[in-house]
Amino acid sequence: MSAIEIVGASDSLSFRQRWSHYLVLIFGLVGFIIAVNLRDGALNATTLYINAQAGIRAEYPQNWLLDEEGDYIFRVRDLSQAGFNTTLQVATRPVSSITTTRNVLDALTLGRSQTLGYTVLSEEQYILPDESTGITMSYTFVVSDPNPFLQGVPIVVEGQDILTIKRGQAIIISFISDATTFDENLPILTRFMSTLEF
Amino acid sequence: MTAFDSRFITPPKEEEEIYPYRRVWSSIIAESGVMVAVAIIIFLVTRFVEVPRRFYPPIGVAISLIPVGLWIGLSWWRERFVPQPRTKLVSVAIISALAANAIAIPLVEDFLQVDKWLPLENAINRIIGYTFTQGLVQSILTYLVVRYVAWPDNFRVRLDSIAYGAASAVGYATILNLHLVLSSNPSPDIAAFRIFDALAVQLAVNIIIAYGLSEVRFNARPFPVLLVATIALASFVSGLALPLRSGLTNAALEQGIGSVSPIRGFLLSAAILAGVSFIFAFLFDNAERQDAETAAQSE
Repeated sequence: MSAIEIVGASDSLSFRQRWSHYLVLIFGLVGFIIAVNLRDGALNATTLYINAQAGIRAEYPQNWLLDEEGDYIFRVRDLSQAGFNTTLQVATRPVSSITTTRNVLDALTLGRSQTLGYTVLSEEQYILPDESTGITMSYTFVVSDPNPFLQGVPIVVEGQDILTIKRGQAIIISFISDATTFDENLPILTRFMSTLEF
Repeated sequence: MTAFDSRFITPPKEEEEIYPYRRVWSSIIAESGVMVAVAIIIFLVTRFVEVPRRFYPPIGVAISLIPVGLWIGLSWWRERFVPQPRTKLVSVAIISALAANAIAIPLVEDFLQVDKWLPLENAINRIIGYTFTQGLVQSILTYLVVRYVAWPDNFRVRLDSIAYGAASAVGYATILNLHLVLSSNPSPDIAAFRIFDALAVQLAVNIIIAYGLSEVRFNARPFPVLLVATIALASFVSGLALPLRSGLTNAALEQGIGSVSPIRGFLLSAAILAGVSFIFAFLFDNAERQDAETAAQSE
C-alpha cells in the first residue's frame, strides 16, 4: 500500500478551507440556539385548565398529572420526578364577610399541625397578577411512606401557599416541592400564577 | 557439476515498501473487538456470579478505564515502533477528556437539562432533541479539539484524521463513562454494555467528522459545505443512537411480561460502529485512490 504525503501545503488556508470552518462555527451557533429553543419550548410548555363551575382558568406544566378528586378544585403533580412529586394545587374555602386572610392562614396552620415536622417559615404580602393583594406563607414538613414495611428515608418538603379572598371564598394556591429542589422549581409557580385567572 | 543458483531463474526480489505510519483501522477493529469481548464476558460471568452492590463503583470505574488501556496498548504504544509516529495523539485525547468534563457534561445536563424534558417527548422529538443537544455538543467539541490541536500540520495522510478522531473518542467517552458509573452506580454487566455503547457511538461520530476534516485538508478544492455536512451527520447519528438504544433496551409498557434487554442496545451500538466504519472506510479508500490517480497524472 502506498501513502501519499502532502507536506508544506498547510501554511495558509484556501478560501474553500476557510469557509468550511466558518460554516461549522455558524452551524454550531445556529444549532445551539435551536437546542435552547427546544429546551425552553419543552420545559415551559403548558396545558390549559378551565373549570367553569369554580370560575378558574390556568395553564399548568405539560405532562403533569391532573387530579380533581380531592378536597380541592384541582391538583397537578410532576410524576416524572423521583422522590416527592412537585405539586400545584388550587383549593377554595367558603368564608364569611368578616373573615380575613389571617384567619384562613391560622386555620390552615392548625389543620396541618399534626403533620410530621410542620413548621411555618415565613408570611408576607403577595401581589397577584390582577394586582389584588394576597398573602403568602412558606412552610416545611416531612413526608414518609405510610406503609411501615417499605424501606426509605423520609423527605423534607417545602411548600408555599398563596391566599386571597374573592367573591366570598378564600382561594388557596399551594406549591409543594422537595426542599432540595424547591428554589429550582419555584419559577413553575411564578409561571402558573401569571396565567391563573379566577 | 554446477551449483544451482536461484538468482538466475527467479526475478530479483523487490524491496517491500514500508508503510511509515501505524495502521489505524486495524487498531480500531482490535480495540472495539476486545471491548465487545470484555462486555460479553462480563455479561456472561454476572449470570453466574452475584457481585455485591458495594463493589459496583470500583468495578464500573475499572471497566470505564479499559478503553483507555486498550487505546494506549494498541494505538499509542504502537506509534513508537513506526518510522513516522503521530505526535499529538495524547494531547487530543486529554483535551477531549477535559472538554467533555468541563464543557459537554455541564452544558448538556445542567444548562440544556435534557433529562428533564427529552425522555418525555415522542420518538421523533427525542431524535431531533438529542441531535441538537447531546449530538451537536459532542460533534462540535470533537471538531474543535482536533481542528485546533492536530489539523492541519499533523494531518500528513488522510488516515491521520481517523487516528486523531479515535484518540478524541477515547478521551471523551472515558469521561462520559466515568460520569455514568459514578453517578448512577450500574451493575457490572449494564456498565460494560453502556461503556461499549458510549465508546462505539463516539468512535462512529468521530470517524464521520474525520472524513470531513481530511477532505478539507487534502482535497485541492474541497466543497465548503462538506465539513459542516459531516458534523451535522455526526450529530444526527449521535442523536439517533441514544433514543433508539433506549427503545431497544428498556422494557416495553405492554400486557404480559416485558423485560430489559441491554444486549439489544449493545448490538445496535456495534452495528452503528460497524456500519459507519464500513461506509467511511470505503470513502477514505476512494479518496486516496483519487489522490493517487491525480498524483500519477501530474507526474
